[in-house]
Amino acid sequence: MELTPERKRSIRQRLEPHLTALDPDLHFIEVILDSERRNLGVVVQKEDRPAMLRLDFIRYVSMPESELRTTLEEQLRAKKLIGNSRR
Amino acid sequence: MFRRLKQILIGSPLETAALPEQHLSKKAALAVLASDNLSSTAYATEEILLALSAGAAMGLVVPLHYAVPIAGAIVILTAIVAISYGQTLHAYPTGGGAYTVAKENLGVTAALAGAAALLMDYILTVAVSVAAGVAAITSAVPALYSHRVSLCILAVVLILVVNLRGVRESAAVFAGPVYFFILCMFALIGGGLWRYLQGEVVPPPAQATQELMSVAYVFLLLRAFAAGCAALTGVEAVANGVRIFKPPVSRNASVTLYVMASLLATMFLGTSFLAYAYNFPHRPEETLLSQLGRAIFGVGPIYYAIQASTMAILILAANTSFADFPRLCSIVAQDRFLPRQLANLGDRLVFSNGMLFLALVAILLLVVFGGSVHALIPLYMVGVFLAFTLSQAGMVVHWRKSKEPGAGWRAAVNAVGAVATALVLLVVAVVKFKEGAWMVIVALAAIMFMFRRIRNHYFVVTRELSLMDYQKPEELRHTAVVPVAGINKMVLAAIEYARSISKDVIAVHVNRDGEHPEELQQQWHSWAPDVPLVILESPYRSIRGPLLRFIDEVRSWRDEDVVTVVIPEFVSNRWWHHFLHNQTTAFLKVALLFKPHIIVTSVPHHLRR
Repeated sequence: MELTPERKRSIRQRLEPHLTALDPDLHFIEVILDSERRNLGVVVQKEDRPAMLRLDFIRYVSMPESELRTTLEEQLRAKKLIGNSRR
Repeated sequence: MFRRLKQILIGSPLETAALPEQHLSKKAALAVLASDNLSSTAYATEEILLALSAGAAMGLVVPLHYAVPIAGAIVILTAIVAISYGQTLHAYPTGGGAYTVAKENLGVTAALAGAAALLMDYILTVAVSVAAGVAAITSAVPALYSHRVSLCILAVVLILVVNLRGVRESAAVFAGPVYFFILCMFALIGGGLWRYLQGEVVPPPAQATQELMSVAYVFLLLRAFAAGCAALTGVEAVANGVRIFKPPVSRNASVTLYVMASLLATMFLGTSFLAYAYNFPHRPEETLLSQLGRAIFGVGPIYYAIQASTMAILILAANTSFADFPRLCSIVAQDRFLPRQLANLGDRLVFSNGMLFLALVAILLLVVFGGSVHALIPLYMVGVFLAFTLSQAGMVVHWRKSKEPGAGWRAAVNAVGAVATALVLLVVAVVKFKEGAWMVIVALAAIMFMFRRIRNHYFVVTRELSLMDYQKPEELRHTAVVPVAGINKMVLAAIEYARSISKDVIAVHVNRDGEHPEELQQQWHSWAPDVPLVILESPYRSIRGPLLRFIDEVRSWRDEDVVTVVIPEFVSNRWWHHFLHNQTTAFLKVALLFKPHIIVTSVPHHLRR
């Protein structure tokens, strides 16, 4: 399901600083919401490696920034897009 | 175009109901199944003379007239093997020869050894006989020598095409040369005996011989015997190819087998006797049949007819393999020890896949050995005698279990056959060990291992697909990913299709040229505003790498989700248009085929011009 451009922009503005802080080479590419409106897919890319980070859309809305960052960091580390040294 | 070419070469498909019409009479079947066996009379005597002459190098004088009793012993062995196979035909009218008999009576391992030996024998027969026939042509026309590999390949392809046209067609085409060879051989033997009886030729006086019981002497005689046993190759062809006969199958096959064995015995003994009577030793520069033909008829039409028919029968020996190899493959494949495709009848009611496989492997051997396969000759006798021994031993067990009247004497006949062929197998393996018999053992083990692996694979597949532990899955969640190179009719058709199967459609584009994708984004929002477009960068210009990684990521995005990759694809209506486009789609399909939980669908757009 396609989000409105405004919604996309606001999600991007919220996530991009966290991604850059975790690794300046990480680029935000796109954000997708599934038809059940439960899963948010955040597409990021580092060099030629894309990744799709998964966020619970309902929780995302009220998620504190620290928790959001931890969630992103854990997933990026699991996908080996960032190293342990950044912990 | 391919279909038209196939129809011209192979002919129109035949209905399954026409299968009984493809069965052959005894006369036609003899032409197909006997060419391998009868062709060996062209060289078996010479092999004995060559082995006896080799004694000179060891300081042993072996009278060449020993070739006659050695040939006599081989003819007795032929009779034993033929009678034993006659019994096999009686007990197993569905064919299969050594494989079926050993499987029923000696167990699977023995059966696989028999099948491996026979399959190897058939492949080598094609390679060796075609190379020998082409050698005869290049001897007559030396200018063709440098093209011998191409000529060998051409001969294999010709025999393949005729066989692919069907059993009846191959019998009709090849019967002439086979019967002509038989006629020429009888003319040669008849003419030679006539001159001998007229006293025009006098055999040489008996030479003084050395101690008969010396080890080297016995070894030399055994070696000559083993070499002459080449005459037996092909005896098993009738028992293996029994299904091509018209009913009553067993009776027709038995009669054909005995006629073939009688022809072989007469021609082989006759040639061996003439070699003695005319005192022709082995001469590397001229074949024995050529020497005999020249001496008996002079260099004229009959001599050339004998030479031409010999050349033809040597090449056509391969035809027997094309009749039997695919049939044996089909029987082994039905038991899942070979790929299932080999068990399927083709358009012309022959096992086309087996024939194609045989031709390919034989051509490979001919190319690797440069069209000269003398080194392979020692290899295939081991395989043949292993098959003989397993078949006869299996029949002994069969008769011991049988309550049929006469089972006792039948078991005795097969026991004699088993012991005799086992002894020959031992002799051949020992005397030809260094010449390459060891390779046969290695190859046999490798082929048997392959059989087991194939069977194991089919077993695993059957178990995995079994409904025994089937549980209906929860409702499937479905994400469709559409890789797009840009936006056009073909892409929009794929997007529409993806939307019809899933509520979650993601389009993905790989920007590999470092171009600014804003234009594509704008077009996308105009034409497909409700489908998200992901534009991935590819700093190393690869489309495949980022795309496959992205698809993997989508697969792990949601729990219990199935990902369908919907590939827009255009189909040209000219075959050569295919080469004008890059093959990203084909590579992508192949790469995705091996990824679990991913379904690949093509949405074709057929070009009108």
